[in-house]
Amino acid sequence: MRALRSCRRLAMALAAGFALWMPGAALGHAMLHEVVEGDAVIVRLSFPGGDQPLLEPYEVFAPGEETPFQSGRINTLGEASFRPDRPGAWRLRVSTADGHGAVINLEVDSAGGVGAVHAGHGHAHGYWPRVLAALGYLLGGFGLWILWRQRRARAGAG
Amino acid sequence: MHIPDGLISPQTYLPALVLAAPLWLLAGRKLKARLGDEALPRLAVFTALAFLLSTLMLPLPGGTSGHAVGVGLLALVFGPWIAFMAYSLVLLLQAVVVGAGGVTSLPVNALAMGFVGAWVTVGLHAALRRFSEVVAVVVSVWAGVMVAALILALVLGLQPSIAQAPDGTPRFFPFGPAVTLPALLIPHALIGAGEAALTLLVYRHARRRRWLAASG
Repeated sequence: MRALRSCRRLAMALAAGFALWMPGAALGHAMLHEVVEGDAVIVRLSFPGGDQPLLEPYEVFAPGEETPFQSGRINTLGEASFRPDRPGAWRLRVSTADGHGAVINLEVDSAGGVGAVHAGHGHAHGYWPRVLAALGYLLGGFGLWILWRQRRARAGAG
Repeated sequence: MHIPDGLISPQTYLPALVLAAPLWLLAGRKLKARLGDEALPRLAVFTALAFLLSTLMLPLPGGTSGHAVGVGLLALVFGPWIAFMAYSLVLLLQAVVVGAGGVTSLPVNALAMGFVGAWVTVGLHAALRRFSEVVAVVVSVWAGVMVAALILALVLGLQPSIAQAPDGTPRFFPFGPAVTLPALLIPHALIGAGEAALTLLVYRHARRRRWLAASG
């Protein structure tokens, strides 16, 4: 009788212990979340033809860091976004499997905003004006070369 | 097809610069020696055409786009050395003014597209022209584009093995040859075919006008 009572007490103690342990064990496997408010840096990417590098991989590097602060894939809007935790020169590197890509240096100020973009030659605006400008440099350079040769030939003849 | 800055390691672009620098010097001397006052404006126009060809985006299946190279035409009309020099100028302007390609990657791009692409085109054209001029132009230009794409795909695909972080992750470009080879070769098989057809049209005109320089 006494032994039976001891067994019952032990079983009750085990059940109580299990009941106390269960929520903790369940929490160990849960992914908790909360929605926080904050400002993010959003960079929209596109190719000169207008296509966007959708779902292509990118990496974000914090100032002075060689291991990525964040890595992921560009969203279906063609944007990469991250929330910097310190001011300084942040780096976003995007690369596609066919060898396209860009390294964009973003100067983040203490308020979390982007003060300057240092890989400015790759920005989306004004692609065709830059093509025309390059064409102008090309033809103008050849033109100057031709003029110089003609002048030198005239000087040699004279 | 140009590789931009930041995707290839110094272990790749520094040896490429060492290789490209003497070739640029040699090509510059040949350009100066061979090009007369009559051919120089023509070279300007053909270089501008190659530049424009490499800026026009062609939509491709799969939602991406690609662009022609343009070095095959330069190589067939002016020879491979002058084509290499002119195309290097195209790549430099694209890197500095347009933002396509890059300054550190310039030697790699110039060697693959400007040098190897031009020599493959001229070599194959010389070998095939006795059978058919049309076939020789089309096949040689297409092959020049494909060989350049193959080299750039290998250069990119080897980056994960060449430059790694201490934890083994790629420092520069994340994809291996299994990804880069089909990603570059399949689209450029189509682009090369289009470029070959366009080159044939211009080449015929240049030949009628007797603009073709001796190769080599």
